[in-house]
Amino acid sequence: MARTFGVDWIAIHVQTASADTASESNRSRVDEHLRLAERLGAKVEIVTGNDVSATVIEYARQNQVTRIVIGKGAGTGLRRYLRKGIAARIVRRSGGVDVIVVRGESTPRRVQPPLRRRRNLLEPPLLSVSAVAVATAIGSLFDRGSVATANIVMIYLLTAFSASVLSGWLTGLTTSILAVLAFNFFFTRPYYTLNVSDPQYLVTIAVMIVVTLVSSSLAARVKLQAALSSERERRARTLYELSRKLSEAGGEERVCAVAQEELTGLLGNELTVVASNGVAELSPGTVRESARRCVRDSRSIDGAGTDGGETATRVLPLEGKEAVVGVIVLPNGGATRQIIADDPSLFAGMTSLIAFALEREQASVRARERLVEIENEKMRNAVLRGISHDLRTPLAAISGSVTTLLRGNLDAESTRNLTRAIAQEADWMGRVVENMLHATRLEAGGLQLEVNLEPVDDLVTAAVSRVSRQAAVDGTEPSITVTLPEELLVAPMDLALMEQVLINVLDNAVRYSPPGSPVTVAVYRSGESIDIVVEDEGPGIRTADRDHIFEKFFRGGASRSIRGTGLGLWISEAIVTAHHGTIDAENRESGGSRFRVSLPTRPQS
Amino acid sequence: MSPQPLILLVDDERSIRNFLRICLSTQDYRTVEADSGIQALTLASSYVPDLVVLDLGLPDTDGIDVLKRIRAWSGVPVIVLSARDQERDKVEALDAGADDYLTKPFGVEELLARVRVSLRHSAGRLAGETATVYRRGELAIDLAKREVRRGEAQIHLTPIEYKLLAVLARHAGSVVTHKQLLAEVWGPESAQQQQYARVFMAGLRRKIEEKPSSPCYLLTEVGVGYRLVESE
Repeated sequence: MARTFGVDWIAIHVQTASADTASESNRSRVDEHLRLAERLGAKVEIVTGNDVSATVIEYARQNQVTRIVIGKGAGTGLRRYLRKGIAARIVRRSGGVDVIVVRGESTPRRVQPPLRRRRNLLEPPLLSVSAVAVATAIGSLFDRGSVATANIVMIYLLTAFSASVLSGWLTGLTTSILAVLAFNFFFTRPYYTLNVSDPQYLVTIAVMIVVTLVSSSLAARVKLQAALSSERERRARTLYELSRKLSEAGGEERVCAVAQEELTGLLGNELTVVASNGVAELSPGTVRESARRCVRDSRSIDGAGTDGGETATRVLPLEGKEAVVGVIVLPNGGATRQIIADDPSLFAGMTSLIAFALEREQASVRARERLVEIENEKMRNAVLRGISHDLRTPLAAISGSVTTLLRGNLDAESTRNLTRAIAQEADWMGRVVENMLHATRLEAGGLQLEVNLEPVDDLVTAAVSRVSRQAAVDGTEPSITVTLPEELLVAPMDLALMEQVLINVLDNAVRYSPPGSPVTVAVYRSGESIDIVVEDEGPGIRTADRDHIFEKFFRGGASRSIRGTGLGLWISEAIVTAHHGTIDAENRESGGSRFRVSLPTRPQS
Repeated sequence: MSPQPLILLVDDERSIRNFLRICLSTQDYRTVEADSGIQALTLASSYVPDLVVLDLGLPDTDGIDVLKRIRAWSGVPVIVLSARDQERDKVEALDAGADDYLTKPFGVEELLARVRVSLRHSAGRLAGETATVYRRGELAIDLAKREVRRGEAQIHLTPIEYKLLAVLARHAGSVVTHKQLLAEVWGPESAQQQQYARVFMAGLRRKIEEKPSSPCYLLTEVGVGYRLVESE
């Protein structure tokens, strides 16, 4: 029918309190039906409730069911009346939901009575007989006639009452009938016959039966309530424990591990909880295939080709709000099914908690990724803006100069000028590219140090000569003074990277200072570290810029007119930090700035 | 008079080959060009050039591979060209037998100096004569007399310092990698000494340079090794 209408359908089984006493075969029949329904594409739900029709309607409302199909049942007598009753009540209460009642075929297999269990004294028939025997014995202790028969009746009443409380209404009833008979036989005139001479006793007998029935039903209700509330408490505790553990678990993997542990605790079986993106990592085979289909179709999948076998697996979806967030792979054996069927709401509660926890983890991972993406996007844009500006400017100068040269008709002086400009611009472009290369390596997290014990002399001299060469291309002649200590200092470092640090710092000092103003480099030992101090007599660092100069793409307010990428000091700090050293900047009292690079002399772990 | 040296230029970038050719032709060097490793090997065996300028970033084969295959049958000097992100390749190439290197972008002066030094070394090797005297500015090294002077003053070096300087002087103008230096001074099993070598070199520099803070003889090639500037 569902296929004709092209809609999803749900097979619902209402488990009532009396189902506890339902026979094994009845249960397996229900199980079989549900499995058939599942194979036919239904979503199977097992809900609990004492009133079948009310439960069905409630479920239908909560799940926006549009149509209820109910079998009328072809049984006879009481069964028929009951079934019809359910159908009728559902129709009556259905409200906006369509109800279709179909005539069921007669049940092919009759419900077999439960196998008799081994008897013990508390078994109903024995209990009744023994209870009445005891009561009779007690009654016979008294002399007939000396004690009011009403008191004897009380003893029997007490017996019947106790029996019904202890063992249900049926035992209560048999006990009370036996009690009435015994009373009649032993204690009413004429003795030792079942004749009743006094019609009064008929009242006594009726009262006993009524009391027994009322008390047994009360007792049964109390017992059921107690059982239910302890069940509810256990369930609440289990769910609370689970939710506490899940909320403590960080990360999808931990959530799955906790879920697995807790579910195993409930089901006592080998089962696996896998997040939806962990499905691909399952070992190849039918299980993985089933898990995949389960995630895709969002319905439970029974292990392929293993119809009902004990070793077969069953894959249940963990449904989040939008998609399946994970799956539970569990054995499809009767035992597991039974435990789930025994307390479906506990199992459903646990799975929805797990699904919620997984969904929350996945959402937070997505949020983090999104944040990183946004950050990267911003970075990329800034880098692109930076690159295009830093490269386009010298490129414009070069192509301008070259085209002018190609036109010819220039005096020697102008030719020399233009060619020098080309050389300078090309050199600048080289520097920009160099810094960008370092920056991209840093960004990629690929700053791999090749550390050697290097003399600081080498570092300082290599950097100073590079800066001087570059300055020569720019046509400036910086006066860089180097002071090395008498002692030959060595420190573990990646010479190429540290050279870049010093080049960046020196280059800043030279370019931000007036042409020809002195720049000094001095090396000191300072305890367990080596300080390399670069001082200039330029404008210094503006107060507003002080906290930002080591930030990426930061250009000081005073630097608008001076070329730069805003990468140099950022790269430098990253490199020095990777060496477990420090770099800081301050203004000198006498004007100008002072940069200090401090490197540890001993290898750091 | 012997014909001008023939130089094989191997680079896949036409603009680089163009620049190299023009620049070298100003010094009257003759050139042949290859734009791939395969072509380079063919031309190297058919022309037998006096020098090879080899780019390490070739499209078809690994530049180092080309170098090794040339080295298998020829001792022709090879100068490798590398980009900034090929630092390791560069050192590997030098240890695999390249004579010197240039990092792009490089200037004309550098290029011509490398070519000149490499050709001189190979000519010396072919003629079986080795320069025994190094002279540059104030610095004079007499390998025969084992004497080092700056101006009139004799410089006293420890045996290891002298050995190091002698190795550099024999390769004057060319770069000597850390590995080569270690092998020549301490022997091939000397990886342990690497830390000391740098310290010895720093000490040596302090002795031979007038101003160790701005050296003009003994240069550090960061990440590669050392170079004693060309003899006059």
